[in-house]
Amino acid sequence: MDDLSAAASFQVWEKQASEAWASLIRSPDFLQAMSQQLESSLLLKQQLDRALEAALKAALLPTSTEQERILHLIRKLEGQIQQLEQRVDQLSATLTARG
Amino acid sequence: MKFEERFWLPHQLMSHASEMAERYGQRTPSDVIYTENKLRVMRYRPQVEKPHPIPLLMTPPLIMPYYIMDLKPGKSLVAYLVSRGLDVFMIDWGVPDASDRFDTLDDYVVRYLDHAVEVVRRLTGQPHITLHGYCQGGILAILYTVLFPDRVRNLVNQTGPVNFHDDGIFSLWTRERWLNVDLIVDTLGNVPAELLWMTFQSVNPVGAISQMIHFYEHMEDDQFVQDYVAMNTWLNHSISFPGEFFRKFVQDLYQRNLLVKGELQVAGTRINLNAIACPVLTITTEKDHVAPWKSVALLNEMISSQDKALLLMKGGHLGMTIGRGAQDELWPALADWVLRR
Repeated sequence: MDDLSAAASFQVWEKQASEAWASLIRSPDFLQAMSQQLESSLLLKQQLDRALEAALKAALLPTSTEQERILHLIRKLEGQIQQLEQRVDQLSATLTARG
Repeated sequence: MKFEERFWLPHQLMSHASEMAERYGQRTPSDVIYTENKLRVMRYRPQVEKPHPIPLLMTPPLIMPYYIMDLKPGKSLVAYLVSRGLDVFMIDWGVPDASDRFDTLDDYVVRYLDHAVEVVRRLTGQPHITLHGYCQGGILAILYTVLFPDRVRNLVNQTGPVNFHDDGIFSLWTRERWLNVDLIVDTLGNVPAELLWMTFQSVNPVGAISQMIHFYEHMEDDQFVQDYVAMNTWLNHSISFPGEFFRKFVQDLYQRNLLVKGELQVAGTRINLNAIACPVLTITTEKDHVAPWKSVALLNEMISSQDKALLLMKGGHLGMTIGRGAQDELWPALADWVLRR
């Protein structure tokens, strides 16, 4: 097979494979399988997480979700303080300018 | 670059995109002028003595890095806009960690984006700005313009859809029947970058194979390799989707299509697209598989602006910003439109 025919064959394969894939990923069977696979994996992880959280609670330790929530609140407060500082600076600059 | 290094580049780019971005990235010079949590706002160093008075703030999508608009010298929309005399600012949303799963769509619009706009207004002394949004960033820019009309003088929406029930693949994949959003967010928190990367790759795996073959055919060509690295670093550099943002984004926009129905609520306010009255430039492409062009162009039919334009380009979602046609068509058209206002 010379280079030209190899390239032409590849182009034919590329076009046909692309069309077949595009059709597959829109088919209800494919969507159903993907959806079920994702959901099963997530449900398994959810069960494991719940068991771990229950164990942590029993040992009076904070869960990762609780820690994440606290960190989120701290960061939100940090942002609000930053905004307030900027407003105070602006007001003070305006007042200074007015004498 | 040695042969061995070149040979393994496609694999390296897939598995270590963020490190590759650090190693090979050549960005337009800028200064970070504001940070808050993971958010950074950058100001590009002007190249003219008196830049255009209205600052331009660029808003990228959350789930891909900002540098698609500043890929490398010669392939940088940002560098072009700066060279045309615009005062350009860029948002980098950063990479969310587990605690950012609680940040909602509302937080990103009325907190992070608003704070970015505020800092740009304060620094430039201008009462309002030109707001540019790309893809998902376009949706955020549209929502912001509805909520804070007095702060946005001009809006540029580049491929941000307003209709989510169309023939695009993501419209189909995100339907309630196939995607349990609550289960994903409640179980994973943030939607992992790896899952997003796999989802995007699943749209066209044949294209990825062809691209790799193309790479090995041209791997001796230095210029080709540089372009390949720049583009594929970006393509493989997915960023996790903040959980609560994802929940509202997919449920209210993709599944319920509330924006186009005028029923979307952000921070307690109903989003009425007709409230947008400022000049608007909508940019879209004929072969956009992520945001079909009609779903993007619909914005211009739903706003009350008298001064509105639609730029319908050839090519796909990514090619439009850095492809061959971008430099000749998109970049000058965008700069001209902004500079005239």
